Amino acid sequence: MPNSATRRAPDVLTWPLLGRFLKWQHARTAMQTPVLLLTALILFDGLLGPQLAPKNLATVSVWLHYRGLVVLALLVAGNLFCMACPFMLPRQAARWLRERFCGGGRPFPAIVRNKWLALALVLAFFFVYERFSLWASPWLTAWIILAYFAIAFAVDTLFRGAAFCKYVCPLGQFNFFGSLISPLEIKVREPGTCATCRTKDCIQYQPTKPLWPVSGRARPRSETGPQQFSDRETQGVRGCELWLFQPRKVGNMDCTFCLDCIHACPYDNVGIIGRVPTSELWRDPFRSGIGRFSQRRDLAALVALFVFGSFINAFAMIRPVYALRDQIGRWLGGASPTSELAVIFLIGLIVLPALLLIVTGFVTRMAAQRMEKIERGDRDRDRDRDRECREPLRVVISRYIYALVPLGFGMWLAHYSFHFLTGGLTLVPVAQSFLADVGLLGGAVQWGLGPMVPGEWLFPIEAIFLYAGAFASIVAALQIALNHLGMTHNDDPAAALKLAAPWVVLILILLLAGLAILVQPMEMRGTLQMSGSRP
Amino acid sequence: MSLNTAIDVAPTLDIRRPEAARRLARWAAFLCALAVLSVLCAGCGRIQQTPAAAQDGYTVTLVAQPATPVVGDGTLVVTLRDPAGQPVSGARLQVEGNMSHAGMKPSFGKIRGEDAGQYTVAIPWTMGGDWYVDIKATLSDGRVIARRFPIAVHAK
Ligand code: SF4
Ligand code: SF4
Ligand SMILES: [Cu+2]
Repeated sequence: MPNSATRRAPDVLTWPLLGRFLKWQHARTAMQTPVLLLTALILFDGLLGPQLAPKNLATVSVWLHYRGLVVLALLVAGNLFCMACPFMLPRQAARWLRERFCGGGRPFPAIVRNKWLALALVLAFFFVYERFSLWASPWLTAWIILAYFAIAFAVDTLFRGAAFCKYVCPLGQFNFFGSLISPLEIKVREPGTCATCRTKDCIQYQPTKPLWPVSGRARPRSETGPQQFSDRETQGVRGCELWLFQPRKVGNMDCTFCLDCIHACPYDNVGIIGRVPTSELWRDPFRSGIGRFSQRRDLAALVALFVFGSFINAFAMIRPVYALRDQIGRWLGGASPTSELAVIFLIGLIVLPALLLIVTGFVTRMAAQRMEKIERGDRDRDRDRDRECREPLRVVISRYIYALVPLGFGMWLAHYSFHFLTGGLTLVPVAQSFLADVGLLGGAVQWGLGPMVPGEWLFPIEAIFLYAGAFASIVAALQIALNHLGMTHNDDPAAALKLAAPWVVLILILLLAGLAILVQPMEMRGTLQMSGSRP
Repeated sequence: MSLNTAIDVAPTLDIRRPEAARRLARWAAFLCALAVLSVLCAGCGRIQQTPAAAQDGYTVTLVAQPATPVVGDGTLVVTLRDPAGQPVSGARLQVEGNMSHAGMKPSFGKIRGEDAGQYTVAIPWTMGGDWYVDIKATLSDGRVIARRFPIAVHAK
């Protein structure tokens, strides 16, 4: 048995240069500022530059580089986009407005304090993306970014905390979903230190007003922590605005890697700590700021949307989708492109996923019930009827659906890395032509640059991502089953296999579907004035 | 497939958006970008002007061969006629194809020959999907006729 005490998990904050940088109070601002400047360039070119997607900074950098780099960062590190999110930079101004004019802001309305609103927005975004071919229009791409800034600013001016990140932002939800498989996590280093900590700055430190009245707030900070209260206040240190309380925080869900808790903890007790990727999917503990995964319908629905969305999003790029749309159009009697797409979304993102999940969950639930009966024997059956495994179907599904996360993420990774690897280098000529147009570059623009790897490497790379996702998904299904059994049985691998089997079958079906999509040549479609027949 | 419904090439073409919206966008963009880009804007040649619709009176038609182009080496036949309907010979043609999607490098056409205002152009289609073919013809008197044609290319 390896002795876990002899070797600690790596902690990025202890690494020489990077660690020091991340601990610096203004680390996040230092990362956000360049991203904000880049965003300004993107907006400028998107609105005013050439309206030809392959030649505009906006379309190239958003749909190739941003998407590609986000999934790669989630794969090798964590939620780095949220960490450097430019939309959060104007929040300092929003915060100021809120304190001055909105009486400190109000809490986000309870009815939307869950993932349903975000889920609706993600769905709407997927729809708009396909319907208006966002990837083909620099102008629309820029407007989406501007709308994003405006909405983030408005939400954070009116409401307290990080309401936009936690309950609204579709990109954030994607990052939360992806970061479930990431190898890094923001986590307490020494649980013992938290047990004796009396101030809990990591959650409740507010530079202006505490979220709720705190007894003993007037006590000088020097008593309890190494840093002076007054210093920290002026520096704007704050506790977690996503309401993740470090000592009880589990995993990456809802964590924006904003580093606030790291800067707030007076004991330097929070780290960016390595872990086995995907391992947070295996267990279902109570998670601070979230609760138990198996009790959260909204989260389960969001996860389902991202898993099945990965397949629909890639499917929308291959030939059969056009035949399907025409077919649906004929069934509906010459329907508009909007209703054709709506039918595909309805079937692919709602009906089919619901059906697959209900059937799979049902079989698992039946297996669990049978096990209970066998164990107790006929003798007790009547007396113990009430103690049967009566977990409702929705809880069973919400418990096991997390097994699909690695596969869904693998599909996003395969698709986005395809775009990134086929066109990553086109950024060079596009940037050159930008500079040439503004008079900062003489010399020729290298329009010949494009792919980052030879064409024949693409499918193998995509397939590896998908296989790895499927493999991690199968492992997760088995682990979830073992932990599920832990509640009622002793460890019993054979029983766990029985519970996990339906999910393994679903994973294999999805794997085949994914390969069937990836093996076909992508066709980069997308403009409304195309293909003659459509208006 | 005869694609003689040319869209006028006006570098920023967009038939969906009303002029007012474009103007509004331009303003918003300026406000946003001004802070960082005031230096760049000073001599900025990047901003696309919206030119008036092509009123040169010339007719440019484009026919793909085969009618449904597939990925690989393709051929285009460009016909150029003056306002009186007479074929125009001796023009210098520049042909460039771009996909509607970011991430593919442009394909440049090679002029293979001309016969009474009919120009044959070889162009490599590097991926299936939607393409724009931009044609710029420089006439012998120095006048420039420009058009943009959409073409759907099928994957092999
Ligand atoms: S993380 Fe730091 S501030 Fe939070 S409870 Fe632990 S010791 Fe206290
Ligand atoms: S403050 Fe909250 S959201 Fe930010 S890094 Fe810490 S736990 Fe994550
Ligand atoms: Cu795609």
